[in-house]
Amino acid sequence: MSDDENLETEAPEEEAVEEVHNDHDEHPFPRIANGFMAVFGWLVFFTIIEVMAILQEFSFAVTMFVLFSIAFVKLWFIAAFFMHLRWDPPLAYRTASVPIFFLIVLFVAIGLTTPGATDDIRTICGF
Amino acid sequence: MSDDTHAEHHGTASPMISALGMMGIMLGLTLAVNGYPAFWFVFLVGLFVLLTGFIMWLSEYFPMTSEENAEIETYHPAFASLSTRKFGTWIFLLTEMMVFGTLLSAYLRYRAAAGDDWVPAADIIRSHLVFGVINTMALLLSSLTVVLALYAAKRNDHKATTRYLSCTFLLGALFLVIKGFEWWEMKNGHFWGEHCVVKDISHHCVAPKYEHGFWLDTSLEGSTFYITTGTHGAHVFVGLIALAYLILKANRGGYNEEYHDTLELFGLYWHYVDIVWVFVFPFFYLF
Repeated sequence: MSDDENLETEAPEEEAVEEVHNDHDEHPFPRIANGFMAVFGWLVFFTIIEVMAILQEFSFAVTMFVLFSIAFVKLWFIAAFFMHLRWDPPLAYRTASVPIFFLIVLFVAIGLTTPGATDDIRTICGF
Repeated sequence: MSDDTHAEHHGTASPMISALGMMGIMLGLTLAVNGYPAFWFVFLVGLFVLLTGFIMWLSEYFPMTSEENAEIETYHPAFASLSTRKFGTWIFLLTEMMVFGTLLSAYLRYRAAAGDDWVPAADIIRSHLVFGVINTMALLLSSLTVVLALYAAKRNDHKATTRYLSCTFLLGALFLVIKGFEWWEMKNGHFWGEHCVVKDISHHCVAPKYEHGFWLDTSLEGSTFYITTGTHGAHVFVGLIALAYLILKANRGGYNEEYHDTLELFGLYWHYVDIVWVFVFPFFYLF
């Protein structure tokens, strides 16, 4: 059995369904861990950039742009590599994308609403 | 949903009952504390239903033999490319995303409304930013060690698996210890000198209102800071409890090239906690 096959082997209790679902190996997991060391290095690098950007005293807009940009880059590194979404079937990252709509609703409809909107739930619900 | 070509499904109503109970709790609590005291009844009914579902689940799970466990369907035809455990973990993480999305959007809302009157926690922490940076590095490194633990398990290297999981535990514990110290210092106003209550990045005095410390009930700034970082810290703590179990099992050789799903699923949770910190750190510590 090759290394790839070893890495993708499912637990024995799942063998009962393996004949039916013989395409269930979820991802060709990378065989070496060195790539993850590099990902960690990039995450540290971006954290340092993040802190240095703050110490530069940019304007509000520039600071927010830098911080959000770096946060989303770090999010991508962690999700794609550490959480294996890069190697998982599309269902995994499609599922992970579901809350984006609701988060947009939260941030746009509540986070940026008129003053007092979050103070009184009856205002939000309209009754 | 199962048919003759699939292994047996759980066939239990416990998760659905528990979810309905939780819905009753949330609905009842939210409305009861917002001027509708009659909804305390809905809250109590929800609590009863939740406990019923939980007890039902325990009574079904514990008597189950390993052979019966093996018969439970691990792949559902509706989402056949992922195991049900992994799919379920992702669904759980989606709900967690909404929890922190709520906290961060509320923080944004209050901060935007306050305008220049808002004195961010970042200004208070600034002189001791090193604690936040160390915590960030600790969580990032712990994410790496979880991945390495999974690799070690797939290599049948039990000692390395235990070692990496132990490193993850220590890093998580370090995070909580530093967090606790940081909270203590902020609560008692030790982060700023006697002559100036709080200094901003240019070392200007900015907030005499924190003369007696910065705590949960000091201001909205304090409430949002402690609730958000506290909720995150609680997630780290829960992760440490799970890690303790994983370490014990790994030490007995419980994870190998065939049995490592649990490590991968725990890794998803731990990486998610790391992602939350990726946003909490700039939101509360830098800006």
